[in-house]
Amino acid sequence: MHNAGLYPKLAMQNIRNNRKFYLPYILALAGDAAAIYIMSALVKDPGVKNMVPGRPNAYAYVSVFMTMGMVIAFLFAAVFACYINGFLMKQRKKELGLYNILGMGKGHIAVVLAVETLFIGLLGIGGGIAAGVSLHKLVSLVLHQLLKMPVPFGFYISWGGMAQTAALFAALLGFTLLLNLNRVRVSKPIELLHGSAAGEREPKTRWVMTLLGILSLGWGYYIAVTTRTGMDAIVTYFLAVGLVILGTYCLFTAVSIAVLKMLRKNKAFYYKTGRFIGISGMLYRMKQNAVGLANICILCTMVMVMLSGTLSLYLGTADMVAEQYPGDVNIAVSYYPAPFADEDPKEWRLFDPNAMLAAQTGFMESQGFHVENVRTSYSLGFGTGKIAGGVYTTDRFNKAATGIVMMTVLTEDNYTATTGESLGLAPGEVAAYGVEGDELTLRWTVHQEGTELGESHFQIVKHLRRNPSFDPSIAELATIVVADDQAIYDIWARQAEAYPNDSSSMRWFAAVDVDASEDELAALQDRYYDAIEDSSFYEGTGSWARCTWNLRSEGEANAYGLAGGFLFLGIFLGFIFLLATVLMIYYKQISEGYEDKERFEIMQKVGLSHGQVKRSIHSQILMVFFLPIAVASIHILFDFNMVEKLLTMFYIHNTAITAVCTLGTVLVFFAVYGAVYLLTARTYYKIVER
Amino acid sequence: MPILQVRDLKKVYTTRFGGQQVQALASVNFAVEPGEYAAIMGESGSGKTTLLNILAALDKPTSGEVLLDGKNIVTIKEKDIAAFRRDHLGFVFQDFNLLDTFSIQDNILLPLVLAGKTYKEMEGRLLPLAKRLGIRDLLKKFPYEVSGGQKQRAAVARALITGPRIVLADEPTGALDSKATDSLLNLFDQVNAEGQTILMVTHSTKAASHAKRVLFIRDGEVFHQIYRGVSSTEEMYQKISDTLTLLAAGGEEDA
Repeated sequence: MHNAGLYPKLAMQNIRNNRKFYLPYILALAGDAAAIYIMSALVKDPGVKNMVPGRPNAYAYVSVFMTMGMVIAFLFAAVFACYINGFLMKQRKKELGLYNILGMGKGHIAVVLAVETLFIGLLGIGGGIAAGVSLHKLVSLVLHQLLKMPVPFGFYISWGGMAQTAALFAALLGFTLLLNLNRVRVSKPIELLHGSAAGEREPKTRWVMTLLGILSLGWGYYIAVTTRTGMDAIVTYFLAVGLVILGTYCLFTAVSIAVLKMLRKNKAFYYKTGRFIGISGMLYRMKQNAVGLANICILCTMVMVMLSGTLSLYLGTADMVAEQYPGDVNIAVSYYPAPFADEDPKEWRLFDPNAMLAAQTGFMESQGFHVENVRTSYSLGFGTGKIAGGVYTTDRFNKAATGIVMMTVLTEDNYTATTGESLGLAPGEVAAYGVEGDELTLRWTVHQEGTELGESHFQIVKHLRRNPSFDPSIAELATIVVADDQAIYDIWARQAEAYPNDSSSMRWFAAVDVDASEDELAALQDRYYDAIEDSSFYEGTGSWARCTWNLRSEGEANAYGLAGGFLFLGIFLGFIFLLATVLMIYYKQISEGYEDKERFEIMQKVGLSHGQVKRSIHSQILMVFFLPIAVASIHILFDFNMVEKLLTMFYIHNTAITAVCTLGTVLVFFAVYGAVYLLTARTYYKIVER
Repeated sequence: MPILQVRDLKKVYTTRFGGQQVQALASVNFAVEPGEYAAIMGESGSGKTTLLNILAALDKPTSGEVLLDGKNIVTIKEKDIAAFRRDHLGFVFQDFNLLDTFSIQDNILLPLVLAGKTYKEMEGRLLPLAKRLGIRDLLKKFPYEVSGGQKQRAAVARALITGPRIVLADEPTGALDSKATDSLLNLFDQVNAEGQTILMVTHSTKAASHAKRVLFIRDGEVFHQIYRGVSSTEEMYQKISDTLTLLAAGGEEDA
């Protein structure tokens, strides 16, 4: 081997001969490299940085999301490259053994492997960066579209992004090369030659794993289904995910084998043509593929959760904006309907909503804008502990309390103004959402101290199907509509007594539409902040604690910055994970094909007809490939409740949209998976039937 | 009437590229009587494997007929071939061809399961057979857990369990050591003594010396045959070696 030109030639030839294995690997590397380059370039792109002057939030979101995406994509690429590389080396053991026996030293093999890796790197990383550069503009357009931002001009190439991508992947490939060299170093040629012919033992039933799998899956599902609030969901999400992942691995590795063995024990059932071949075949396949199938299942679940969740968030954002920002300008005032002990009652005046509204609209009119469509409402919200059907206590951490419930109180006037429905409530009567029973009892107990201050009782005359008020909350939500101001002020006074240090305020809310452009509104808000420096601005509005302005345009931009960023990331990572899933299916088909070939030849010799063989192959392969996605769909079904609760943390509570997004994602995923299966199945049949 | 009759069997292969024709079988004629134990010998490339594949209905001849119990198997329709093979023929292969996904028992039962028999009937056939072949203790084991000789016994059991008209054995001792070979050949003697017709293809003189008749194939034709008559296995062995020597010498003369 003195001829140095031989190594590149040999390496090139090896890659070409094994192109069935290497081409998808190189494509996957390129895809991931392209994704990482694009994300890196988006962070560095000056066009993105200056996306909207004066809205630094949006850039901050993009930057954080892309950095997060890069980390995930790279970690993923690393795991995946090691996995595929291991698979490739297993397939090539024999070939390398042959080289060794034909007189190539291990050093020579190492050089060949190194040159091969170099070629793969050049093709994969180079191709990936090239694809990334050419797709960057398109992706950036999509991103701006999702974020609802004006599209930037110009074409940007990020040299830094290229260097970063190349360095990351060079390190990764270098690492896989080291793994391979170590594999060759410790192997004996005869082992290399017989590499793929190691005997397969029959799988044992592992009862502990089986039990563990059933328990952890059951527990994970239980958590997911019983989660009642967004806060619960955040706290328990990762526990549930962990349990389900553990359960999935056990399900595929142990539970499946236990079930198949039980079926085999039933002789009358087992000894029938289809089942006989099917059950024993599946038993063998599950042993070989359990981990791979569990991986595919978990990947599928992740992709589907990510896509359906981010899509629901994005599509629900319009509703959320309309609900949170009903007017072009939204004014919120916190006030207390009675003076506190440390206030001078002579100085104190009850908050006057009309005066406040007049001051605000007067200011807008004075700036030359026309104000219309004025809507106002007020409410009270405070935390309670749920005791049992219809009984709530203000001592919410009390042991008797089963959960924390955010209690919102509205007056009938407010309810009728938003819904158009009249309730005709008498004093002592309420209409309620989220409260069980015919009677509502509010037990006034000093918070974390326990002094009993008595109870208030209300007759529930109507149970509301929809929550008339929505606030994202760490707690469950309940809303009651009371007869009049007297009733709401009374409740306020009682809770103020029960929460001596942190009582809730009343909240007054006004939404107005202003005939002005977005820019004009932003300018108006600036002038408002200047105007309130003058203490006469609020004259006659009475006593209140805080007044805030919220522009819908601002809220919308922020919401889309967040939701669009999430969706973008969801699609982007979903794409990478899908790529990985496709590749795993492909490699599985090939490896299954080589193993099944011999088995089906024997069956044909012993008297199985060609048609029977084909049917048997088909049903087993179908089972192996659709099992992961079927299980993933069940995961999604159980996960739905949790995603729904998590979304409430983003003010999204439209179950219909979430359901449609989830179902749509699952269906699209099934279609893509099915298409990939059909395409790769051809490779499989070619191998088996040759 | 002979169980198996082969008349003027001819097989011509056309190479995939260039359309060159290769004659594997020129004109093969022979018959196997019920209860007979016949061996077919020949060098590599003599057409042995082609002949066996045609007898097993795995391949179609270019012309000629193969009659099993008077029925021409060449004309059996493609969809019936698998069932025909399962019901009338038993196979023993050089490399055992046991399925690694099945226990020994399930491997033996495979043809019966394919034939749709009840488990009760399967059990009724399996146990006496396993006892006869001395593999009763192996039934629950898997192929990777037993020796080559034991695997081949299991394969013989699988061939016999359907009660075939004829057992076709393709180099059955090819992958066995000498001890396992002796044991398998004794088993064949025993099975044949019980009335089972066996046709074996081999190039092992030792294996052939156990047969009652040996046919020699060369250049796609039956070139010569010897009957055992009353000779012992050792005498038979000597006769076969002499014939092979003669054949080899003749072959060189032809060339």
